[in-house]
Amino acid sequence: MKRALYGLLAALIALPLCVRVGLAQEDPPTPEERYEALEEEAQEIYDAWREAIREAQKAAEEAEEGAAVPAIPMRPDFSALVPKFQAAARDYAGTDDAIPFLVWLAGNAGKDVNAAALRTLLGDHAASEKLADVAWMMRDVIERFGAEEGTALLKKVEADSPVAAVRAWAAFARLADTLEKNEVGSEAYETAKRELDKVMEGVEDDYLLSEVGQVTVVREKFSLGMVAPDISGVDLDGTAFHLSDYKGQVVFVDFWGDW
Amino acid sequence: MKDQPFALIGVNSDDLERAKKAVADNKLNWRSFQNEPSGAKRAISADWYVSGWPTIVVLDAEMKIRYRGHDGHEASDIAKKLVAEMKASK
Repeated sequence: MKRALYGLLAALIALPLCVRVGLAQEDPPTPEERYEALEEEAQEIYDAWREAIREAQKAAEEAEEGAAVPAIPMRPDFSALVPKFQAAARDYAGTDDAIPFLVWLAGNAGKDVNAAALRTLLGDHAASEKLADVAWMMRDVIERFGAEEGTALLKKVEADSPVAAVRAWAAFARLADTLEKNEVGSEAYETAKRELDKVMEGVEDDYLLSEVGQVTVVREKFSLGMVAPDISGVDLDGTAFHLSDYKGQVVFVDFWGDW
Repeated sequence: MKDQPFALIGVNSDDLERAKKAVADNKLNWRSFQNEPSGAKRAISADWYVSGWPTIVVLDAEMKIRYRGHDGHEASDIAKKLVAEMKASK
């Protein structure tokens, strides 16, 4: 009886609230607000996933030896969210507002959906300056779409993008395979390298510089049998020294950190 | 590997306080470069295009690269072999 009374009371309080909300002419959410709301939902799913991992780890620690332990899901399950991001990407199709939703889909949705999002991102938004923040996503375009379609998508970005770093990422994604598969000094390698050097001029994207270095400088200067460049630096006490101080010995150079 | 023609040189990527603490806490006995001391133009790891940590590079007596990668055991084996070869040829 008492519970029924509370229920009634709640309904009486809630009713005018509902009416008021219903009557007020609410503006539709802006694309930014819509993205933030979806992002928040994604964060909740992510947090729940992390929590599930913690619990599974705890269960595994407490389990008796040989006992089955629950499997830990490889990644958070965003499948319920994907259609919402897709709907938003469709609503804003062709405008810059669609970009964040496509980027999210390209990074988090399942295989076919993320490929479609990346295809739309490069195909429809090649000329957008907003591509600058996600240009690294082009890194494996050839691998994902095959040489023919991948090359076409990247060349479009190279032709249309107003941002030098974006054009450079596209060129790198297009040429990386040629660089990796051909000997340093071969005609194919050197031609691709010259083409890449030209678009890389003045580009200061650290991530791209490092990626380019991995397939060029590392092989040109750090291959087995090559003489390592000297290092002149300071030790942890601030005393200057050179790597070459140890020439004549076998030197084990360990890039380390205490994470 | 004491009294052997062998040197272990670190390149440390932590900030200085953290690096010194790690050395003290773990009684590390090798000398390390600061990867990017304040005022440096470029980190050593950037010059060497090191993309993952830890990375190990083994150099022979002529400073020629004999190993570059992330496998500490393989690197140690190669270094030991090089030291043994050097001693044998003396």
